[in-house]
Amino acid sequence: MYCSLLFKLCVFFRVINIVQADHYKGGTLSWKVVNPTAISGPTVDIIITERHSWSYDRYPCNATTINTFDVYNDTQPSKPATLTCISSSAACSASNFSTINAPLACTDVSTYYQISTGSYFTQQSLAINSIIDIASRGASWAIETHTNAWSLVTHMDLTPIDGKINSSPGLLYFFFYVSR
Amino acid sequence: MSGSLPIFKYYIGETATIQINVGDVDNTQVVRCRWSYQTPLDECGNACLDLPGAQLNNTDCYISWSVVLRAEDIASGLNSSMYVVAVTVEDFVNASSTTPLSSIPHQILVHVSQKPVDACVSRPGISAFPRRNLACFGN
Repeated sequence: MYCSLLFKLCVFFRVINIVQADHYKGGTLSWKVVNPTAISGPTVDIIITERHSWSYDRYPCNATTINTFDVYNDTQPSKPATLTCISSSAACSASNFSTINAPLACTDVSTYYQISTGSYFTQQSLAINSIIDIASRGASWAIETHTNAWSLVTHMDLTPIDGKINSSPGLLYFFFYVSR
Repeated sequence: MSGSLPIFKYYIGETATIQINVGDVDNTQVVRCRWSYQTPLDECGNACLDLPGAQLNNTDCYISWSVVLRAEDIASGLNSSMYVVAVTVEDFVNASSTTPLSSIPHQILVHVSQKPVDACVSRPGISAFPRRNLACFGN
């Protein structure tokens, strides 16, 4: 009886492990200054874009979830992906950057490639002249990649140059998934 | 901005050209790509420099790679592999500058498999790779 119960528990926790791990399939971060020449105030408004892909089994986006802007989250239960400042505490504090919860909305899906993709946009008011690095990180790439931790980092410098504040390069994925 | 599929698929033995079309809303600036690195900022977790022997063209942002299976997949008797590509895109004031103004991450999957016996001799695709940054496709 004991062995049987132990076996069942092992199977149970293994199933949980499969559900909660090994799911990341890539992504990007970028940011854009709302008004590059508005440099007279103490803060600068920027729009941060976060985009991640996950295993379809974990987040089965479909036409309905996309059309209704359904939100999905990184880890269960309902813990959204986050954006955190990874620079020194002094630099992070001076920038006014606070950790951002980023509940992604489904935007793209392919059952053939077993990928669901979502985006999150947020406007933030950060201190002018801030120089910080921002990261989105998690535990597990999809198991077939034989890798574990994932990490995305973007470098942000909000110091005006020649009367303008720089925006990052941007990343737009093309989604011309082909049915087969 | 740049454009890319989230997953690229190749057959073993091909020479792959993975093009990432990069640009910037600050249209006087120059954009370049480099591999993402584990240190000092942990830009890519456990997925850094995952494509064995791949070459990244920094100025035109494309990767050249002789497609192979992972050694550990071969050892496991598998006939397909999934890799991670982790690239960092940076913008510069001008072409001579080597100090990036900012950077963003770009991480995608690359799937490798045996070419099926009934596959077409050549795959459909966009021709004339590599293209310059900001190049137009179509003509």
